[in-house]
Amino acid sequence: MNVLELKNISKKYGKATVVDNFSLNVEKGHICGLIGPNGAGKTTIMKMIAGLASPTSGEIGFFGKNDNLDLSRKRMAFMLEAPIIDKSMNARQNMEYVRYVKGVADKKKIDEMLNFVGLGNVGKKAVGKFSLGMTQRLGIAMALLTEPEIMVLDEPVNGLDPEGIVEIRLMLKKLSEEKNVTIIISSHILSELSELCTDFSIINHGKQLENLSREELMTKCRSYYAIRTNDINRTAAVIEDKLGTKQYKVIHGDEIRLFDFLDNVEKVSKTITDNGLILTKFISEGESLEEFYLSKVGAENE
Amino acid sequence: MNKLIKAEFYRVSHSGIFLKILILVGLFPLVLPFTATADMEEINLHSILLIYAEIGGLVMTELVGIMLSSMISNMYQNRIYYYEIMDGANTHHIILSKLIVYSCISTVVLIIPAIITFAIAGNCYPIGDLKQLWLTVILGVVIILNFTCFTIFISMLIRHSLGGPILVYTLGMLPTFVYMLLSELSDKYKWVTDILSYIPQTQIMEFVKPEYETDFIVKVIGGFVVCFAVLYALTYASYKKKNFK
Repeated sequence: MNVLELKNISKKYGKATVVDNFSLNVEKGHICGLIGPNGAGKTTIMKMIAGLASPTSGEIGFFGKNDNLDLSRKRMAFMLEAPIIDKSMNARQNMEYVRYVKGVADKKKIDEMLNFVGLGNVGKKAVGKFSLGMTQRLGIAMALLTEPEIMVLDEPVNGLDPEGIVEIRLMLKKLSEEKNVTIIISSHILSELSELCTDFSIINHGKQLENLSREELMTKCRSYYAIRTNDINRTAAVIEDKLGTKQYKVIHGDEIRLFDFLDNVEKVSKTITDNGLILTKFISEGESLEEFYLSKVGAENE
Repeated sequence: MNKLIKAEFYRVSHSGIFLKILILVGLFPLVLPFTATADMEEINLHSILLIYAEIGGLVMTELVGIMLSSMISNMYQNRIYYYEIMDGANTHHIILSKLIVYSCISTVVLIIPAIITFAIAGNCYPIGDLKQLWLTVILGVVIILNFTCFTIFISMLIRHSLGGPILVYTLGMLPTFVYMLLSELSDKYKWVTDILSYIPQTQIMEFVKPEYETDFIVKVIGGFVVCFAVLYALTYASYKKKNFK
């Protein structure tokens, strides 16, 4: 079941089109990563989901309905641009304020959530003295206070140290697995997103480049054989003449990436060795999410 | 709307130094009965009210206005107001909740201490005409609420941590000085002073009178209704435009 549906939404500010015909479906319990460079329109999309901006055209739907979105938004939580906190209050007071605004009856939730994000012992510390990582964690605790079914997180690991990034990733994974929370997340750290997300949406200049699941990404991230031999030029000639393919690349003059015959490892290795070449490296590799993203965005920019 | 009111009360009561300053301001009227005894020929409750209006009223109202404006601007500065919108709160409810909270604060800080002080003073000095006294209090309440609403609307329109309080101060003091200056000059500028007499900033200096003309009462109530209606409409339109653009 789709809990979030965006149908051809566009957003214009004056003559500038910030989001152009963007569509996205997110299933319950999935983690969807919004990927794109700065100014791609990710935050605007998230703001439209949060109700902080209205689409110029297109339709937004939550939980299978596209009417009374404000009511549906009560089942959602947002952390946009940076955690929204009042620095004149401490962590607990900020949580209390959100508890009042959201009408959460159970006061114990505050301690529960502060403990969940590892801020249980600093609840009374002034937020102004928090490190960036602590602020991000507080933002997540504030978002979790209402036990949302959907969480929209804009750059939640921004500015965190590697340890903090892993902590947040594990926390979000736990939320998705244990509480079946649907998460829409944007980040510049693509390696983190590739570890976390079940779905990906690549966006550039407000336009959707691709929506794909983790499985589709795996398939699309072109796999190849990384081959090294005692004579790289002759190997290239053998691949062309004997295997009859030009789908290869010579990298740094000492390695060949062969994108063909991926299901026939025996044929490739036998052809090379039968022609008197000595294999020094022969492994199957693939593009990372980062490389795939760069190839997509790079091609679009060209 | 109830939860918005509770949330705003919570924020205000936990927002650092603001509340402490407001409490100090609220304590100011307590000194009035003592200042009144100094060199006044005839001391009664009316004369104390007069001092409050002329000396304390404008300064205190301005000070409270700046404090309230800072509290509201702070909400925009750190984007706390996003929570209300993201929770799907109705725009009318958002505006009304702020009006209710800050009018209550204004009442607690400006009106209640003043009334308590006057009640104490009433035990020491002659009360005078009781009906007149009640009218003075009611008009004072309307004027202060009008100024509070004006402050809230301006702050919600400007949404700037410095711009809001500065504008509240400027729009509070400037018309007062112009009014005082032109009133002294000649009848040539009577039309200007007539217009300015509809705004709470000038009314606060003149609301304590030995006798009230109907004209003044109409100006106080009419000014409140018009100012509220116009600024409410502007704030609503601005909220819709800025938040959902």
